Amino acid sequence: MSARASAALLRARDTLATGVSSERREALERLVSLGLPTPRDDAFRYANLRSLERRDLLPAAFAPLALPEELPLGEYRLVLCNGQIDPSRSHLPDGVTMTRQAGLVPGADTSSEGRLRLLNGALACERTDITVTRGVNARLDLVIVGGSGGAYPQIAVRVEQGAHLTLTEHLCSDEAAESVSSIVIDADIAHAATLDHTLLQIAGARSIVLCDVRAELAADARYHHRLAALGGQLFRLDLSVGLNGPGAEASLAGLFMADGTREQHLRTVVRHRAPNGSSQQTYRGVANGRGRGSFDGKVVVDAHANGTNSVQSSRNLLLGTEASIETRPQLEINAHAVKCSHGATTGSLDEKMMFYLLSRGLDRDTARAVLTYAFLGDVLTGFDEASRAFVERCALTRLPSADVVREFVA
Amino acid sequence: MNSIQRGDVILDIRDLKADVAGRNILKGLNLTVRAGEVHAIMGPNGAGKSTLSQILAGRADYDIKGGSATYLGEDLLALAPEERARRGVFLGFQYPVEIPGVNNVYLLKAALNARRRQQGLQELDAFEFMAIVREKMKLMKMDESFLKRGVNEGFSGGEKKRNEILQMTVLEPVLAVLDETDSGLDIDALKVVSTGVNSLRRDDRAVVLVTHYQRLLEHIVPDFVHVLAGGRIIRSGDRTLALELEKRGYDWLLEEPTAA
Repeated sequence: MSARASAALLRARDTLATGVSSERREALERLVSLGLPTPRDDAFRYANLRSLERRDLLPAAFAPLALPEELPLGEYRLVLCNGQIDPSRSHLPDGVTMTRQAGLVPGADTSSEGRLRLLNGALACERTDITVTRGVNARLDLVIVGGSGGAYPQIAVRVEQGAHLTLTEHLCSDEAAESVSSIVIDADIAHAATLDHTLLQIAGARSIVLCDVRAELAADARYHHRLAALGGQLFRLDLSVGLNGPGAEASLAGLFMADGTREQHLRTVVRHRAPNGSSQQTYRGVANGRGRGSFDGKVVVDAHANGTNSVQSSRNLLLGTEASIETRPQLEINAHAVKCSHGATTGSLDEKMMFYLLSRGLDRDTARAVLTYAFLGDVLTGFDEASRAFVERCALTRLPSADVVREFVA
Repeated sequence: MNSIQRGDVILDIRDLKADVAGRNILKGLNLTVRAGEVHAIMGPNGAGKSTLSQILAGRADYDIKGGSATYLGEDLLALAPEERARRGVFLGFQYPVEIPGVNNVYLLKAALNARRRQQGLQELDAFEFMAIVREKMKLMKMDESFLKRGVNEGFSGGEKKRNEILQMTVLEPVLAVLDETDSGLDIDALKVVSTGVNSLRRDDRAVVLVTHYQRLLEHIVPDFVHVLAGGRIIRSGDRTLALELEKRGYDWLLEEPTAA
């Protein structure tokens, strides 16, 4: 309930259009009194949202915004501009259906994440429900473009029994746009269904992007999440995965690069609610300049979730003395027969490796770039082919000697 | 670069004194290495052998407290490690580091091209480069899988040493300093490594072998053998000195008053 945090909300409330439903108005009032999360909230101890204060939170009107060139787009896509579907540029594959409705306001959850969901719910113009029909195998790009002002996409994805959706989400905005996006994605993955979800965050340098993804897995369902957080001024991902049926499997991996004054914050919560589930998390972070980042990852194993197998690894690289990355792996185990491990490190480049490369004639900048890139290697290989080439290119542009470095990759 | 003739001074170390983490390790070391020569530096553990190798390659965590090291007339100690490498100084590491994710062969290509640029030569294209590498790999009895792996990634101790010598034979340094290249090698690997080193011997190059044991010197016959102890060269001789060391150990030398 920070007075500072409420300034932007008050401005939004006082200027909210008259056509807005009373339910959304009330939601905003509720949020005004609860306040946005602050570092006093445990889940937000690393990600400070104060930069939201100077921003205009009101949802921007729909506009057919340009997509960045070179996005690795496939044949089918949904394009959302300022949080609303652009029908003229959206095409769905066979076996995938979509319905649009007014944005939903979430129920009373006063936790810090709940309050961010409330922000999305109060200001969302519409909600999109995507369903992948039983047994269908489909690929879809979800392109979320923000202009100046607020955007509050709400997406629900249901992957029916035995179906497989490869969903590549592109979060982008104009380099100069003062955009604020609060994105909510709810994935419901049915028995033996698979969702391959890649999230490419390449927002412009003045964008604030808050993304809340919740995936619920039935028995034998699989959820693969691949994250590349490369852009934005401030990015925050809340990724919550529930393994609710026996034999469910979640594999979460990704990288972030916090260069300049960028902030990249990840928070994952994986809940094993049923036996014989497995979850793997592999995250790599790089911070340079005055960049900041964090990985806050929690694994909870419920009492009857025996046979759980869970691995979590977070490794981080600091390239500058003013850069910082916080990491907090947490395990909460309430079952007996489980295999869980986690590891977290944050450090600078290995001096022995540096010296080895220098002693072979590489200049210092190239050696640093090569080692940084190699550090990201094991998560880069986890992306599918099209995304991987794109992520590699984007990651390289943030390193010196990009053209030389590319060839070094083993 | 002017061509180097047999007998030209390649490396001249004068009264070199150096500290590591506040400890005085080198205490006035003198060594002159000329073109065409192979020098073996032997000595007990902790004598400063590895320190000398690392200093010559330019590691930053050594404090030079006095003296000089001149390489082909230039102040070697004033050069950054990468500049030394490009000018033809090569260090074969005692413990080559693993660098997962960085391709072994591409590093070699970048190293060779960095050296060629320094020499005013054209960079090699991939085809020319691979021809050289394959030839040298044959010499070092290394199989094709080395091409695809990360730098020393998952290599056995012997493979790492062979990889060092492969790099050396491709880079053709003017001065190769090999730090305990023989340690951890079985007899077959020792022969292969020796073949690699011997292939480098030429009138315009020099090799400094740092070793603990005499056995390497049966395969790579040195022109000079030096005993490094207590941070100084305390005895120099020809290869018979190495044989004597093998028979008698180092103690007899350490007990004698320092020879010039």
